This record gives sequence, structure tokens and C-alpha cells, in this order.
Amino acid sequence: MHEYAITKELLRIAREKAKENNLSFVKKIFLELGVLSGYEEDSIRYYFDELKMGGDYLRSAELIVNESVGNEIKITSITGEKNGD
Amino acid sequence: MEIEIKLDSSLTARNDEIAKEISKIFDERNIFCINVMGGPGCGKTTFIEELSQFLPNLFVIQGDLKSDIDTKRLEEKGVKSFQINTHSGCHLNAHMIEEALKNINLEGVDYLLIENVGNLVCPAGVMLGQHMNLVLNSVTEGNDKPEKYPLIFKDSNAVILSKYDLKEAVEFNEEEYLERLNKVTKKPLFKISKKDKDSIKQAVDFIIHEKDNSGK
Repeated sequence: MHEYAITKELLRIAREKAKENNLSFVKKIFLELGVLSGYEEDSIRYYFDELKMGGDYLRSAELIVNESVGNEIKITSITGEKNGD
Repeated sequence: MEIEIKLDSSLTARNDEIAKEISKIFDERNIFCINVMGGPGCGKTTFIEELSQFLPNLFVIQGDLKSDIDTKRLEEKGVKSFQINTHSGCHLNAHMIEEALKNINLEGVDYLLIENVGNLVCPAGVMLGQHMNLVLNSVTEGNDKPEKYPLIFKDSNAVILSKYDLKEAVEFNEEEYLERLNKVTKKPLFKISKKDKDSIKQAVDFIIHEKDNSGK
């Protein structure tokens, strides 16, 4: 499938949530990947490593992928440092 | 200090929200929407041309990277249609359908068919606001597509095996095909040929039955 588009969306959401929660940077992104979603972890990682360099919050973010049943693909949580810490 | 923020953010949520809104529009107007998928050249447009002889008040949204070849074909047969060109996109998405609907008069439409981009990979699982998915697979494509591209077959309400009249000419192994198909889906299979109007009628009856069951 087209992992480029979905990875862009992943980064967009992570960035948005980081801003909303006043994080200075994102440390980890936990992604739940359904086995029937049609998306491959390797391809997502490939684009993730490339695309994260283009922004501010995500440059050092680590992507942690957990497989699940079903066809959903979603961010279950992000971790980071709050601004001013 | 490292803090954790719990989320439940689906990466397909944006598309799916738009698809839900589209579904609402169809439901309000009693329009039954079918997403027609299949590889390039498998016979999607021909199938739609044949359906148009039996299904009343049909409208077609056509999806291709470039050109309006299929819309012109359909218009020549008296079928109203609207062309979406994705330019480089490998499948239609809800946003494209939303934009297309702004230019379409849905008055009096009973069936809206979306002919997706010719592709057995990417359209699978993408919500467009449709009520039903059909996947076309022609005998000329060999008998291994269900095993090689399982997601799109799993995702469909029925499988249409097209160009059935060419079965002998291409030495299509139907037994092997059925074995492979059964491993992936138990949904109904319709063997069709444009030369056999009864075969088209069977698919039509199935569609009408699904429409009636859905309450549209």
C-alpha cells in the first residue's frame, strides 16, 4: 500500500498532539498496526526516518510499532518532554 | 521529565470522517452506492455499461489517473457520468468523492457506481461512503489473483469473474481459481460475460437484493 501518505499523516498527528500538549520534542511514538490494515512496518519505518527530519518536534522521535489484529492503524500514545522542563 | 500522552488517533480517521458524511448524503437521498474495483483492463467499464441496461437511474463516478476515455464511453451509451483524474494517485479517496459530488446533480439517482482506479492493491479498505464493494477479476488475468492480492478480495461483498466466454481460449483453470478464492473469501462469485445477458442479470439481481436489504 502507499505507506508514504499514511506516514505523513502519522507525523502530522504526532506534531499536532505535541503542540497541543506543549511538548518541546517527541521522544516516542507508539503505533498500533493491524495485520489486515494493508500497511507494512518496514515501509512505514523507511518513510518515517526520512520524513521526521523535515520538522522540529520529531527529529529524534523513535517509532515503536505494536502489531494487532484487525485492520486499524493508529497512534496509541506519544511521549516527550514538556516545554520548560 | 518524560511524559506520556495517551491517544487513540486513527491514521485513516480524516478520510473515514469524510466518507461518513458522504454516506449520510446517500442515505438521505436513498442512493445505493457501489465501489467497483479491479485491475486495469479487467472489464470494469464494460460491466458498468452492461449494468446500465438493467439498473434504473444510474450515475457513475469514474476514476483514472488521466483522460476521460471511460466517461466518454459511458456517455455514448447514455449513462451519466463524472470523471475524476487523480493525476498520480493510485486510488480514489473520500475527499475526491466529496469534491466530485459538488459538481453532480443527484436528483433522481437510485444507483451511484464508483469505478475506482484500475488497481488490485491500493483501493482495498479505503472508505468512500459506499454501501457495497465489488471486485472484478477477468479469466485473462490468470487464476492466482485472489491469493496474490487477498485484501481487496476480502474487502468485497462479491467477486465478479469477467470475460468468462474467453475461458477456453486462455486455458483458464477454474478449479484452481476457485480453490484459491475460497481460501480468501466465501462471498458470492458471479461468472459473467457481456455476451451472456443472463449472467449479467444474476449480478444485477444480487445488487438489487443488497440494496433492498440495506433499506435504501
